[in-house]
Amino acid sequence: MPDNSFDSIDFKVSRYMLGNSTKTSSWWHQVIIAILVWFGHPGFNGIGFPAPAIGGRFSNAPAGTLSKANPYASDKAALLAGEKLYQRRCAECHGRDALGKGKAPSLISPEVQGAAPGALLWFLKRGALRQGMPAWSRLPEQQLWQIISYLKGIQPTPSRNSPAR
Amino acid sequence: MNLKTDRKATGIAGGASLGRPTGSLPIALVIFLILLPSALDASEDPYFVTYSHHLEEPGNLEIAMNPLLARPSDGKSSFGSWMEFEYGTKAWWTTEFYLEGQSTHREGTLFTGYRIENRFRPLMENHWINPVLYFEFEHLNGASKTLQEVVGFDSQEDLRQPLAQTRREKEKEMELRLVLGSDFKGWNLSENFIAEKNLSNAPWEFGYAIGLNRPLRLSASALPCTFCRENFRLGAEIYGGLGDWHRLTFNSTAHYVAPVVLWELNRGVTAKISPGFGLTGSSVPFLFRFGISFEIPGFGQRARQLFRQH
Repeated sequence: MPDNSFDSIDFKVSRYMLGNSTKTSSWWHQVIIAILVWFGHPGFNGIGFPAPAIGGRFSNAPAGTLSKANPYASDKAALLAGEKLYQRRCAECHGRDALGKGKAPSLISPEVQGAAPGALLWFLKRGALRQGMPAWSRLPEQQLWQIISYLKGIQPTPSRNSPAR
Repeated sequence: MNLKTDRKATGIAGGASLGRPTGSLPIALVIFLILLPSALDASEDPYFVTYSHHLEEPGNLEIAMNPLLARPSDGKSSFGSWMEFEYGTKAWWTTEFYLEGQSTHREGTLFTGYRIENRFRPLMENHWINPVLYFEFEHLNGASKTLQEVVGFDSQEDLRQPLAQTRREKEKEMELRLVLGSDFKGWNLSENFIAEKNLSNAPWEFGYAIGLNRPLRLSASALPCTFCRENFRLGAEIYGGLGDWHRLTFNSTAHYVAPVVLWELNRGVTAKISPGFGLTGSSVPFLFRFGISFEIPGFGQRARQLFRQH
């Protein structure tokens, strides 16, 4: 009578994966090695590499994105919507006053305030997973522009906690 | 076989029969979630089976309950449910732990097992199409009725089997997915290619899931609101089995189409529903899924602080 206990199954799996079947064994080894190489390669930015300055990121924005104008640039309602979105999506990491928190940089720094709106949009959509910044492409472009409106409305002085209206 | 022996024989995944139906648990969870204060809004996807390339924000913990009502033709209604704990380990790595249970009309209620899952984004920036590598280990019994994925020749026949029989089937399985996701003009399109293997020398089984959704309104309103169109996402997902290693086919496989609706409430609470319709004779004719989730922002940081203090 076959032994169907888990221990027996585990033994069979080990034997199946590592011992008896050379083809399966080599296939598994190749997959595991490929994963290790990918995640261990210096080109992979997930583990233990220092974060570049946030300003440097914006300078990498493609030329085509820099010329994009914010369609909500002079829209006060968009600024309020941007503040609401910021508090929902961004404040947990960057702080409610956008002054930065922990590893998350300040968003009223000259680098951010001086960046072209198109470069900010490009960065928000692209993210920087290595530095812990999610890609916010999940939000519609309109909402990202509203967040940018809010960020651009914040005065770059540490004492200011609310945007200029 | 008496109950004691039965429990012992069925092991972890099979023996934990619950005295009360799990139906009251979602209600208690909803009350709990509504009472908990939080400023963060969740950014969930409306899908139940399809995964998108969106991972959990780093340090956040999401707790979700996703019940499923199913009634196979000529079979008894069943209620499956899974509780999910999703943690953003890194911006490129999300890990999840699931607990599953089910209740079948006039047969009983039981815990059916657990799953551990990890998702990785191998590329560190967003592109027009974004791959995610998904690895899951499942330790379930045959009575699991959550239909978190449909693979191989899974069919409504699986749901018709009596609980007393299926609870004794032990399944240690590995599930791999290649998730591809794209965002374009507010739309999200996600494709999953699923490969699942029972570790007891069974062949690989394959499946797919494809989802599409969009918010009802693309720009946000200026004032906080609960019923604004921007808080709702509408879409649909289709999923089904593709046979196994020996017979890659659509024949005798189950396929479903399911509209999905998601509603982002305030305080990090998200609710979603999805009626599902079977497309083939092997499919359950009608499924009804609903889910509620709650996101705890900065959970990792708070936990670390707690341990540092002691």
